Amino acid sequence: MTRDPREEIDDEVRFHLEQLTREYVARGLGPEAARRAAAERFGDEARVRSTCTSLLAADRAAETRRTLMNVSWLDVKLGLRMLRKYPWLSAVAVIGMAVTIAVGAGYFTVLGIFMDSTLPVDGGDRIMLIETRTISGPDAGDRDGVSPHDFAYFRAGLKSFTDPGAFGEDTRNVLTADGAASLARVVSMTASGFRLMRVPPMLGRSLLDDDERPGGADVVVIGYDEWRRRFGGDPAVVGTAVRLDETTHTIVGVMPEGFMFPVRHQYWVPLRLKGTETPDGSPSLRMFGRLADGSSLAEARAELAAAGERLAASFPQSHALIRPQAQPYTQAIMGVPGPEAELAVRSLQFGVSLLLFIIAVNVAILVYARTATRIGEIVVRTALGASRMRVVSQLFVEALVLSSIGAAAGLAIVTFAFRVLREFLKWSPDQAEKAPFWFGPGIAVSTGTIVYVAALAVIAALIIGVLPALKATGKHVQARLQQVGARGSGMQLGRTWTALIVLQVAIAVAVLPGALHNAHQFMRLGFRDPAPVANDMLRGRLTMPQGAMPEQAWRARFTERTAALAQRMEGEPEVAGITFADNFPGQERYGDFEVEPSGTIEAASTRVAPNLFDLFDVRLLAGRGFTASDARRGSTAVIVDQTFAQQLAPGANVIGRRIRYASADSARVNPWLEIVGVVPAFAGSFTAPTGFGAVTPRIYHASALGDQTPVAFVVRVKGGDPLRYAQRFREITASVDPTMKLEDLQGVIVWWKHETQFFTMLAVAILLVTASVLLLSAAGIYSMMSFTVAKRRREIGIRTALGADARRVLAGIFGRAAAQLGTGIALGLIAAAALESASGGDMMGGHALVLLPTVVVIMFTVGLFAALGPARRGLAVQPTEALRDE
Amino acid sequence: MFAKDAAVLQGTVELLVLKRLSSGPMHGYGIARWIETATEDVLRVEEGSLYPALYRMIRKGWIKGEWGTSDNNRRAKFYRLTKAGERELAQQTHGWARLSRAVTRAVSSTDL
Repeated sequence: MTRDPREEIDDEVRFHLEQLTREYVARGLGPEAARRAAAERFGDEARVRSTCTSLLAADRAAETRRTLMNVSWLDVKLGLRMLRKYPWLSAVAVIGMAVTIAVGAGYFTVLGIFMDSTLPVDGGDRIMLIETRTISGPDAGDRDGVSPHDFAYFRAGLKSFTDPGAFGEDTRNVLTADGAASLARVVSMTASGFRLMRVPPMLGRSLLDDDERPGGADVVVIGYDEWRRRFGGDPAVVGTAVRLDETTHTIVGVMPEGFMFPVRHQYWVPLRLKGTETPDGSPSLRMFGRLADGSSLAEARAELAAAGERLAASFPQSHALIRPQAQPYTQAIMGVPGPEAELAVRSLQFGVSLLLFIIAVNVAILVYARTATRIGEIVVRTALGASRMRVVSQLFVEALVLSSIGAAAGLAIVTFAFRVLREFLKWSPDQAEKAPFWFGPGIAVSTGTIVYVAALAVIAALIIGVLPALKATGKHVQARLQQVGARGSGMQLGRTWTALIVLQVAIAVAVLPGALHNAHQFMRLGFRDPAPVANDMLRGRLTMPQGAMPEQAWRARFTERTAALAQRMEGEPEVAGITFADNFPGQERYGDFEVEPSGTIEAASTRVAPNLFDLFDVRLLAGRGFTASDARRGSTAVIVDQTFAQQLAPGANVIGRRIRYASADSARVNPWLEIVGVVPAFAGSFTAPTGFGAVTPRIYHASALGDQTPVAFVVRVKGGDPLRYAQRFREITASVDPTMKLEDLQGVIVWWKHETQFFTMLAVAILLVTASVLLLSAAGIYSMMSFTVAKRRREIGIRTALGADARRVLAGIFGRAAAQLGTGIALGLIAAAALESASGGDMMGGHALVLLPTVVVIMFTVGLFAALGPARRGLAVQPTEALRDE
Repeated sequence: MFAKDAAVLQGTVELLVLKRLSSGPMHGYGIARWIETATEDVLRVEEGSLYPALYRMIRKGWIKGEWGTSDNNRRAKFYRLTKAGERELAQQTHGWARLSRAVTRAVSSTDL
């Protein structure tokens, strides 16, 4: 204990004076005379006190500084030595923490990117997106834009937003003066969007309110990247013309590098409202605005809600079910569902962090058991004058060494995972192009992540180091001094720790079934085999910009050129054939189909060239294939896959049955279609399914070349790596028509591997977490058993000495542990059942009867293996030795 | 004990304290008694001035103070020698022996 220097010096001086006084009394002086003599002999008492007090205080301060600097380094070294001394415990603890910290950090980082509510511009945290949301009915929760009518209404009425504006986007052909054509996403935006961003143009001007006037001049502002790429960075570009589809626009300005508001745009044209919009217009616009000075988000939301109520009251037919909502711009664009979702997502983050808490408590149990074996050391150090604080801080630093290594390993895991994920995302050009401009370098370990991980490491060290340390250095520590000589530690694995072990087994049992089920499902998706013929296929999309051509002429030309291309390709010696579809099988549009006489089936539909089934080696199961006449407009023939047929009429013939697209509009019904053939469910063998629910039923229409543009195409080669021919195909395409483009040309199998890789990654992640949970359960059980054996060593010895069979003694001891294990498993099973019913049967996918017994067997096996070591030690107890120890 | 001109004899006091503590931990009063006896009370002055000397020696790292129980069962602060103190004692003893030999030789010399 550190005392006040003044008190300490007082005590010391008093002792000296008392001793001197006694000496004088012994020599025959009276008490008073003796005291005087002692005082005289001692000298200037006050001066001695003050000099010594200040010397002692200075010494203390220096000591504290030394302790903080030197001793903590010593503790770090001790911590490292502990890692070496207990390699298994350290490995288990580090693995457990690394996996959990990786999960936490990964989630934290990705969440940070999605939840970031600040646009990287001046005052970006106050920029909001206003959307509408369906409040009830089958589409409840769906979000949509706002109609031009509502936008005009909000813009005129809302006081809590400044610079309210809106944008709508479409894809147009950009034709420059040199005749080069390209497709670009063009955004029609109010001029307020530029004011909102507070970014001045680099050249010329941005859009003005006046540009929005109907009938105004056709102007366009272009972005820096396009200016460099398409216009050669021409400084005199302002004033020149560019065609967007049929309309010639005058370039009035160039925005600086990096400006891509609202999402990732490079062409801005004025948004023009006619002024005659009706309330039932389609919600084609996305509205934005900056919170007005002095307005809070809550106030803005209240004002918006009131405006929504007014609209609903005025136009019940179109607005009864929708309400406007405002959300931070970035979150809304990233697809965070709504204000209430933020709380849900944050609580999930808390849950993920809680996972670390559980792991840390587990490690604390292990460390407590280890601390128990070091109780002798702690007691001796305390006796030698180490303060409790000192011992606790040493154990804390030891734990910090452990958790820091876990954290570093966790960061390494998450860095690696992010790299894989970035590669994965980079591969899909679609996703990269659509990513909002603030997505920046994308998913990476940020400073925030490192701070989060460091905080986790410190919290874990507090749980791991300080809890057992406080327990071990409690007030009974002196009493344990006597026990130190004996081998028993004198520490108890008290009720709390036992309860924690039981709880942790229960948690493991509760989460294991879901984890196993999900991992299994992801594995199945990840390790599926594609159809053998997929190895010989190249896929891609064929596009031809319309340019200045009238629609019909352009379509005719596309049809003609596509046919010419097909012919050329089929003439190539290595090519087995080429086929087309509106979407590659497996990536179709979904819709509801009404079936005759009644019922609905949700299915995906594709329009395919009549030869597609042949080229995909798909054999008909019933009926007939497509012929050229089926591809004519107005044809009612469809082919369904086996999944569809099974849903329509299990086991029965479906040829001749009629189905039709369900119509949302009751006044309009779609024509009946007739099933003419049935094919196997083959799409899932070419495109890896993205979900593990039921297999999607599919229907196929026949379609002629040129019916749609762009069009997905598949080229099948006669063998070898199809990618070898990619360049040849590009050349042929360019020679058929220089404006025709092959986009995303890729081997079907490459695509397949890319898609399945994601599921393999997920499965690996789940298995890793599951394994670390199991590992820690095993470690918890192991330390509980070890502890019990160590504690009851003497009892085992005595009973064995008295002739008891050691096995039976041990069975008695382990019976209690087994009961605890059983309690944990039982609690876990109850929790698992509750989770299963709460998840509506999704957690175990209806395999509870297989999964739950499997989990029980796994847990008992883990428990058994964990108990083996301690049991062997228990059996090896020699009675004489055990008794001698006492 | 201890000369009033403490500066002159400070080194001497430190040497004596080191010497006493080399045979085991002792409290301030005990050290004062030993010095009194061992020097036959030659250095008799104010005993209080021993304490600042002790605390300076703590700061130099030669000795350490710890609370314990005295012979008559009273709480007292015991000082003990550190490793640095042991080295210092050896050095000072050697130095003192040389100095005293030299001074003795000088003052007893007839070779003037």
